[in-house]
Amino acid sequence: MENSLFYFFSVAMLSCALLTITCKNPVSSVIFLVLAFFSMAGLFVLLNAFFLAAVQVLVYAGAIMVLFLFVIMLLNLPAEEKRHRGWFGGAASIFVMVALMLELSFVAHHEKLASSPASPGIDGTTEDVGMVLFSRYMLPFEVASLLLLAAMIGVIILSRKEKK
Amino acid sequence: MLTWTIWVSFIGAGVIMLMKPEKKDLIRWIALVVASVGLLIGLFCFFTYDLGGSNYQFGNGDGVAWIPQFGIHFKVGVDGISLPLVLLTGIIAFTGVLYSWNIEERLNEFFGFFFVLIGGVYGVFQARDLFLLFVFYEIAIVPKYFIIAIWGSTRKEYGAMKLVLYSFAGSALVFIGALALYYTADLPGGKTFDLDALASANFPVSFQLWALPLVFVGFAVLAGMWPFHTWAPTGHVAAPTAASMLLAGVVMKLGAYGCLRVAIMLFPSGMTANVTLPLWFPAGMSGLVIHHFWSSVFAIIATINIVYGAMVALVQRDFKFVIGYSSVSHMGFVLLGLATLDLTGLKGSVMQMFSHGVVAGLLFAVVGRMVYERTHTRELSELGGLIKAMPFVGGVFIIGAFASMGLPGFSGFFAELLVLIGTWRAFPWLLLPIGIGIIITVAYTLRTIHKAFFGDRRNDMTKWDHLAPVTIQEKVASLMLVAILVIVGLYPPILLNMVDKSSDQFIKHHVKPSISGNLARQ
Amino acid sequence: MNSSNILHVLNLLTPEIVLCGLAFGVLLLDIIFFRSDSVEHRHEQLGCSVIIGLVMVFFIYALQYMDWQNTFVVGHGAFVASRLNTLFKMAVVGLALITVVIGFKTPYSTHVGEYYGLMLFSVLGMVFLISSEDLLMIFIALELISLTLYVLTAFQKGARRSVEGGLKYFIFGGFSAAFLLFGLSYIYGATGHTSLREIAGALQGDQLAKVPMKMLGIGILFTLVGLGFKIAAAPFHLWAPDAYEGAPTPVAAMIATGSKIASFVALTKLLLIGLPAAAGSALSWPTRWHSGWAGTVAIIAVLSMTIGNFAAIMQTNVKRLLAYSSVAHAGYILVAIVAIQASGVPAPSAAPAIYFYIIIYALTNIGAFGVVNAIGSKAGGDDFEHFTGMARRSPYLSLLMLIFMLSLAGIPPLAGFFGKFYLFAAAVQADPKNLGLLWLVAYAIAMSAVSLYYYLKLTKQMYVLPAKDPRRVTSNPAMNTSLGLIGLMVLLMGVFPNKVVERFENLNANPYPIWEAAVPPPPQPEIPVPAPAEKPAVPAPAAPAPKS
Repeated sequence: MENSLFYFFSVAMLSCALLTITCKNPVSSVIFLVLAFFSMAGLFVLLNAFFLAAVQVLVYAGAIMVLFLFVIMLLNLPAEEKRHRGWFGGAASIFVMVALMLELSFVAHHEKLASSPASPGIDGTTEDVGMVLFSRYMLPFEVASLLLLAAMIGVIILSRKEKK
Repeated sequence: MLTWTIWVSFIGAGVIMLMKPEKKDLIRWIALVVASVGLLIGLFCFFTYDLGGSNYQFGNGDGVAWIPQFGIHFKVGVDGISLPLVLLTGIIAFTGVLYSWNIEERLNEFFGFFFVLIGGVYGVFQARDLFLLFVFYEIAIVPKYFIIAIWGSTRKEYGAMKLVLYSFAGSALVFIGALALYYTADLPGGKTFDLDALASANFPVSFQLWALPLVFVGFAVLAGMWPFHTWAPTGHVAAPTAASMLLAGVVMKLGAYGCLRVAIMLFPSGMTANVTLPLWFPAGMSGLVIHHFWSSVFAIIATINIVYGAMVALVQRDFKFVIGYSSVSHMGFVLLGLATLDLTGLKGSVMQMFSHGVVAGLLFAVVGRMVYERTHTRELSELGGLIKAMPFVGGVFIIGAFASMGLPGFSGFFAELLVLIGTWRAFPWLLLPIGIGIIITVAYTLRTIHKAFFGDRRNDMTKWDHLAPVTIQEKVASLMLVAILVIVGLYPPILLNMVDKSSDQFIKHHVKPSISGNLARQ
Repeated sequence: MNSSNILHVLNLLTPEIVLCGLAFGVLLLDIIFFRSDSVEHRHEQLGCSVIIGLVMVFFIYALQYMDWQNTFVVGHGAFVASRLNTLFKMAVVGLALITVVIGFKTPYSTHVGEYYGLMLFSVLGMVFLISSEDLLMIFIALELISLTLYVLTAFQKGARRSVEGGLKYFIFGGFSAAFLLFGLSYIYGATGHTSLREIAGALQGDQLAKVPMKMLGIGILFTLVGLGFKIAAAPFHLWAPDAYEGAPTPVAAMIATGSKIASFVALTKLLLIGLPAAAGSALSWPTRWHSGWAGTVAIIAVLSMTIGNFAAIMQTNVKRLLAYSSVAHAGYILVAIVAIQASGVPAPSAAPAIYFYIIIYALTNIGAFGVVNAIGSKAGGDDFEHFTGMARRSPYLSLLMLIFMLSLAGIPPLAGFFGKFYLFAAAVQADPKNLGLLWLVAYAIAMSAVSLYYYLKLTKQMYVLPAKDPRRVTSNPAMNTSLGLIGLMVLLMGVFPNKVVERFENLNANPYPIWEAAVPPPPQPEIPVPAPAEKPAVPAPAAPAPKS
């Protein structure tokens, strides 16, 4: 059961992610991205990371993507035109992708990952995450807030219309 | 005390660099003072060198720790091999300033770079620590670029860049070799760059066999070793007079000195070891055994230098190129003397360094300063008949040329003779090509004298009558150089005594113990 | 976490907190008080306050440096306060100070408060990156640096090149962040720890058998790719030339110096502290290679030196030239990183050599960017042609540029020469018996001989060619003084490197007298004395045992 769910979510996530970048229409791109996030949340649930799954749905799929959709619809962007790319870039990226996939599947095939030390030792409940986040990882957590502030300032600066 | 030659040059460079370029006369006089301080200190030490005393003198004993983490010391001192070269540097610097009296443009920068170069050269000749030597060696590289590229002529930027890149590539080889030998040396006193300690390190022969060519070739690039000599003619031609004097007179000796002081001193067995070339042979033979492999290779290359340099000089049309290639040819004698690993050959080599330094300085001064800057041409076919307009210049050039040919009575004679004796002992089969080379040398020297100063009678012998007269500075400098040639030529012991002593020590301490079958069969 | 512990942590973090406050202060000051002032006026006010603030932070660090003998660890390595780290933080803050000075009254933007604020946030990121020994913190700090620098690169919104550079930097940087995160998550997955010390513990002895090594290998590979972007090592360097060229010069200086120092320290720590057991070997290529990161780093080093140096030859823009030269220098530093563990045992002087070199490199580069800024802003650009004949238009700045270029090329007696010597000596020292890394060192030395060509090409423009425009170029006295000081330091650190080397070797020799004890040293008057054996409120340093 767990296995089949895992494969279902994985396939759904990958295909949605692919569709996100191949779709010409921005609105459908965003919809697929939302779907990809949902599937990822499903994967988190399978890993017992309930808090993360909830946050994924609420924040990413819910808040951020809705905002995204909102902006895109307001702007009324046209469908993207087909661009011509050189064959070299395409070939190189496909080569790198295939090589990486082979490598990763090789590793997945040969390692007994179930016994790996990182198999989740704690349940990903809100309490557990909170405990870790506010004790051991408190400093990174605080610095992350600075990161967000800096990003916000940056976005405002860059997107603001300059007075002539 | 001798160290002050280095510091005075660097301080002088700094002071002159900071002066206003408008105060030309003041700059010239300060430059002359700086150069003469170096010369006087050199002369004083030269005449007070104690022939009965220890080998290294005027130094600072075991040195001052500089970067103790790496066993790097500020350790200086001169022996009978380096002292003449220090004196030579002083002479060339002094005369170089005199010959540069007419430079008008950016004078402060010119003498600034000039004295950085001089200071670096002094440092190399006095350093007794490999790292220190290398530092001074590299300091001497970069100023050459600016001196040539800014104040030079004839494809100056190309010549300057080529010269600097060749030197830097050579020093890169030395750098690799230095790192390798530093970690390979297994010394009781710990890791060190001290040359004397390293010389006693007894590197494994297999190591010496690849480290020797690395370091030797690295230094020999600057000595104009074939096939890495091509920077020399273009660089010499492009350089302003003082710089070509320095280049041919002193800087090329840096390379040869490095070969001697670093490559041969540290890796004598590498020179003399036999190498088996893995060639195909009938059953029972493993390959071709070559005795004294690297020594023979370098001797052959040096011979090529002599013959090839002379042959190319023979067909040059540009006056300065003739001298440039003759430098390559004469440096062949220096390298040959080193490659023999023979006492006589070594003495000859050192004598040749000194003598060629003075000769090359004189010849480049004549061509670059006294002829070219008056006639504005160096084409041998356009010159001719100069002897009438400038008898002084012609006379000086003829004396210099004779000295360079190795006529008895001049310093070059003894030097080349000693090298030939050394070669006769070590590589008798090389004497035939060398003999041919010497004949060609005579030929191109006479041809050049003829074409430049006498020329065809049908030519108009009056076309040079309007030339500006020779200035007092040029006269003083030229007479000084001629005097040195004659003095050393007529009374060689003035130089030979100390060279003899230190070469003997060098062979005894560094070469002899490591030679199994004595190369020179003495 | 009891109160004395928190106080102590806050005490350790004082300079960072001051820095953070400074950033907020600048932003708020600008909004509240200077909104209506002229841009010039705001620059003066805010620039001066930032300079004063940074000097203060610098001195707090200096005090900490002199005060501390021990190492304090907060949160399992999320923040490690040691003298070595403090030294780097002083360097970074000092470089930021110089950046502010050379960019004083920069004409690039009207958003003065945000310009300084983001710059300070970036410095904050560097400071945190330097002191972190934890995968999560490394990532967040790197992102803090990167995000602020993306924005600062594109700060000159009117200029096409600036926006283009910013966008390229952003896309490449985002891409690399994804790689980095992926790699770090695999390292975490394989070892079960985020703290570098604990990772190293998990890779030791009989623990090693439990670790899925292939997975760890993938993690390391991706991490190297991600960090390779940050340090602009080839083949991940493509953003660098455009970002350097497009960014306002002070920002480019920051990318090239402060962020480089921080990223290199992070990379060195990651490999030296966290993953020494996975080093493998790159000796005597390729016969004595075995798997590990050393071989990969060696390949990246060779590529960086080759591509950086040969691409730099073709440049005609000074900032692009410096960008490619920085790629080459990243290659030289990677040579010593290969040597850290090349023969199974740590090479004693590899880490100090890396530290020495990045400091030298950053110092020289910030000087070079300072000169480029001073000349470029007056001469109207920073292409080679704008520098033609500068030796007569501005002898002082030209002389400094000459010093910086020759130092980068590695000509004695300048600091760059000794830095290179130290790096390469450390690399050879990794296997002194067989000279196993000599192949790499020989290549690096050959490449640095190539580099002299393009550095001389630039100085040729300044010294050899005649000036087309005879007007003199001058810069303000503050800039002249600070650049002159940098030039003097480059010279002095080259002539007397022994003191600095000594310091780094001492600091590196025994960097961790106390591990995981966030308690203060013997009672100091200004700190409330806590219980001496108090542990921080986190679990004991032993690896958290899996529950199931």
